[in-house]
Amino acid sequence: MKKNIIAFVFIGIFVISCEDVVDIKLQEGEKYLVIDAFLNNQIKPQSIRISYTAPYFSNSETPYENSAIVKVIDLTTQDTAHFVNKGNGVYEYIPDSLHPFFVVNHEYKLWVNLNGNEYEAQSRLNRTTVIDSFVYEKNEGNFGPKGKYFARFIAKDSLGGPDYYWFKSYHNGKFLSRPNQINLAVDGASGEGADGFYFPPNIAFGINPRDGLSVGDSLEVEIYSINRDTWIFLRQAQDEMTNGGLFARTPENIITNIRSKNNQKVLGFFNVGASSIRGVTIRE
Amino acid sequence: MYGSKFSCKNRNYLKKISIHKKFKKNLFLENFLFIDTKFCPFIILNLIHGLIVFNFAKKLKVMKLVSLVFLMIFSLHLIAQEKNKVVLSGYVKDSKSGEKLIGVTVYKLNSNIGVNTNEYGFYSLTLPKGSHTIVFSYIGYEKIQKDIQLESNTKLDVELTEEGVQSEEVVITDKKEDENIKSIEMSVNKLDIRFIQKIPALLGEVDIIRSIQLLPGVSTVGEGASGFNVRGGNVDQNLILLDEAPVFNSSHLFGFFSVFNPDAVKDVKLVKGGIPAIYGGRLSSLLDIRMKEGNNKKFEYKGGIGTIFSRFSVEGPILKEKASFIVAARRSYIDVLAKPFLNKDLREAQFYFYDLTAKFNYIVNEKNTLFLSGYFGRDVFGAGFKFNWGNATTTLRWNRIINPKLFLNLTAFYSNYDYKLKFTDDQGQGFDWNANIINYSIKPDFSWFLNEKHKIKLGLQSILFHMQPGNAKVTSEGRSINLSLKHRYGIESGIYVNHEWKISERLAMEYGLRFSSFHFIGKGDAYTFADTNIAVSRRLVSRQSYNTLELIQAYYNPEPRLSLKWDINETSSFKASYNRMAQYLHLVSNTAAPTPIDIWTISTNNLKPQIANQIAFGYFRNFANNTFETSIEIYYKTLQNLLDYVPNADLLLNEELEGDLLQGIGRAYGVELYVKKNKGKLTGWASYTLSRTERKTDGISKNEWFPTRFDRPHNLNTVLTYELNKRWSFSANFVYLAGTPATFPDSRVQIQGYVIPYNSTEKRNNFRIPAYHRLDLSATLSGKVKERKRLHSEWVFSVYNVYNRRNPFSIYFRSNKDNNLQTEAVRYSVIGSFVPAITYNFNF
Repeated sequence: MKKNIIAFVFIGIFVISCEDVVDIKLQEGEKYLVIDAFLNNQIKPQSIRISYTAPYFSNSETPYENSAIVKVIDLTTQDTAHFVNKGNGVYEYIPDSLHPFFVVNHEYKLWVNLNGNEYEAQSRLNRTTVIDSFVYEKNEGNFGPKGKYFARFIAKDSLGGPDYYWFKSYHNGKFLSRPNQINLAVDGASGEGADGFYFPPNIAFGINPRDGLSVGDSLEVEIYSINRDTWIFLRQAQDEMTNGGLFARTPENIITNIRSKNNQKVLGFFNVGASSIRGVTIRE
Repeated sequence: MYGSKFSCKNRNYLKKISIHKKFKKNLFLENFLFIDTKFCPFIILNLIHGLIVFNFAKKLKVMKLVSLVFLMIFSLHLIAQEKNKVVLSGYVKDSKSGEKLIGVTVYKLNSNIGVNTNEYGFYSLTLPKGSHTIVFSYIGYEKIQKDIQLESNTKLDVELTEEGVQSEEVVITDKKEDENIKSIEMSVNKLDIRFIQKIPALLGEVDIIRSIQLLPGVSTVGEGASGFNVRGGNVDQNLILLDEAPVFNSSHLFGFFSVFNPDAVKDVKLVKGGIPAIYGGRLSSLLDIRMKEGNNKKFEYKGGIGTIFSRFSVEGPILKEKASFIVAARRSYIDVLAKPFLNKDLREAQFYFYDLTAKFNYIVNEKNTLFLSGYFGRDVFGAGFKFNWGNATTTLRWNRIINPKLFLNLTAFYSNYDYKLKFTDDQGQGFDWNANIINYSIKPDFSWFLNEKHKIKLGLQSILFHMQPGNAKVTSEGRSINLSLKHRYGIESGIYVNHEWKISERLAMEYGLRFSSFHFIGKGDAYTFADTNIAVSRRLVSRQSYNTLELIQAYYNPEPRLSLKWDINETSSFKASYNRMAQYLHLVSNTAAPTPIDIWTISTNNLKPQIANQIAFGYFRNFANNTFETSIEIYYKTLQNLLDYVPNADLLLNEELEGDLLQGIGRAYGVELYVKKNKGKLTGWASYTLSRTERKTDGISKNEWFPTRFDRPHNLNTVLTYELNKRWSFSANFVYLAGTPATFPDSRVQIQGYVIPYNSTEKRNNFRIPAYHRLDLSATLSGKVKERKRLHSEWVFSVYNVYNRRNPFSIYFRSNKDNNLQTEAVRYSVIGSFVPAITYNFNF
């Protein structure tokens, strides 16, 4: 919120500042393994992608790795989910609807073996919360596209905690994937402490596409529970991907929760979370 | 390296000190001293504290050094008791306004005997009995010669008249012509406010901080950023004093305009090295801004309408030649102009900033003068939310001429920087957040004009800090949660002695010692963190609460200072200086430019004070009868305990903030070349600085040295003013700065469809963005001067960034807006075009 306000004031005042895309030659960096494992408790195929870092301007999917062995172990029940390679570095597991593998409050371990090198990470499947309802309104004000609709959801943080959430928004089925659309909350606020609160407007309105909604559009919001270190990771990732302006932070390398048993450099993140989804269709 | 540590847990701070035992039972002290730290008791407290420090110092060996100095002063005093000598002293003032003049040279004709008036316009000259011709000389003013017959101590107040006020030749400095050679000061730049007003300014707004940035050895992180960096120092290492009270945020609008109203400013002085022992508390520089006292002869009104601000000031006598005042105000007015064009939902929006400067002085009698000055400024933004910040300072000063040789200035000040953020929506959800840095100080300073060869300054300063790093409340459904951080208290003290000594015709020396201390005290909590991996937040191990006045941590630092000057001949001199500085206050900011919501923190049990050592050498030479001043200076500076941050540091409303802070070392070195033309129709200066500033912090950049964000090896500034005739004058300035270092990625990490930049070298500031250069022009048209007409007016036309260059502030990396996998580098320019402006000024 505090960052948004400053950004807002800044944009309002400084029409004089400008941004241009420029050509920069960058050196090629060392290549590191990346494990991208964000899983949820829905009865849908769950996938993990294993890839490598690539030159920053390579402008395509990063190179992938198909020869790893990938498992997730439920540390409460000691059950194992085997992830099967589907090509393009994607490893998939299809949960059983009668005996769901991913259960709230269980602790999970990711285990990857690549050419004898083992990598591990741990994550807890935290509870999530549910959306009560949506409210939307036609924009007639000074800011933003005129005549378009903007929606906010009404939901409350679960009592007790702290709880960490990632609000993922889907506009007509398409995930709003811009870095500045990463929408996070700790309890009912942007920082720790607001236990059991309704989510504030900056979060509740953070689900809209930039150009707003039209009549007939559908909007779905998934409240995905994350771990505390995932929250830190996503917040940092967002900062690093949108690090412009007068108050840019000193660039930092992204953190990881994946550890190598043989001291190999590895990047990526592992999170298991509970998802609750609710949607709305815009009517006149 | 940071002085000796002292701690006495669980013992009352006062109990430790015998001098205080008698106060222990005093209910007044117990109940009001710290529980209510407002206004009155702080004076007593600080004075007492000064004595405590003195007492502590005694226990340390440093005291031996101090007593040695006192012994020497005493012996000097004996030497000074020469017979047949008398003292001539008094004030030097402007004849039109009665304003006291700082730095006027007072000397005996055809001799080497002379002094300058001090910060309060006072001089004291020891001379043999008999008749003398005394000259009072000040650039821009007509020289005065007085023949006097001295039989006993004599008081002589003198008024100087400005040289042909209307055909005013632009004056760059307020110094005697060869002051730069003859004075022992080095690494000092004085700016005359009248010259600052000629420099082409952004949007035509005359700006002190932006003018400072045109001086050698000064750089910034980029255009529009708040503050400035001196000789490799951080922004928080500049002691910015407005009538002796510190100003914590010197900018309006994030950094575009400085908070000082030029109409109320009398004198500006930047000291980058050889800082005398009188000053302490910041590592890198002293920016001393003195406010006008107000015309004590007649009323005067000044004002102006600019692109951003409109200004108005009034000054005049309250009691003729006894008491006068000045009140100056500025306010931005875009919001007023924009209001009719806004929809009703934005009509409630607020966006403006203003400042109010006022000073009152009262000449009680020949020996006593009182000054009361204040500054209040605020930036206000809001549209559904409220966001505002600003400084407030109040200074009370008492000047007393104890005897013709001894001058006392007693200053007490209050300074507060605060910001507030408030938001409430129609569902009753909201937050309310504010933070404050409050300090109270008292500072007696004695100037002792022993004789024509010796001048001693000694004094004491004590500052009480009351830090409120964040008072925050979140509300929802009528329920609210308090996220406030505990307040913190500290006392910084310094005792100092400084001796200026003209050893021979050619050699002069100024040396001194400042002994500073800092006590981090209760009421408050002290945290202990686990010493784990340096690159992550340290884990909180324990927390201990302390009672009011209980000592948590103490630091002591002796800070020696030394300056030497050797006259090579009439037109050139060589100077050298050394200073050690300690700083107990830290700005916590990890953004490119500091923001108004950055917090400051005092030194604690976890945060050691910052220390700097600097040596500098300079060669000064004037040409063509002092028309050209030139100098070359080199400096080398080391810094300790500079703040850095663990990755992902959380700096706001974080109770465990100290666990996210790292402390490292720094070094800076450079050469500064400076040429200045003082006389003639064309005046101005050119400076070039070749420098380097680096940092090294464990856990950052592979533990190797890396350049800072404001490391700009080449820095060229040219400022020129040409007086065409009585009505037209033209000014230009050109600046060139090497690009700022930046951390560029070399790789991409793809996670959840996001492309995150990654720097596999892990080195900070591994690239340099393109250079910054800019040309500004301005023309001033003065109104016709008519007899009997009081109103004088002028138009100032200016163009900033004439050749429309898009200077990069930063280059950053992002995904294309349509496709995350497509990445691009973006040049961000704070000012992306040329900026024309017209300003109208008047006075009557």
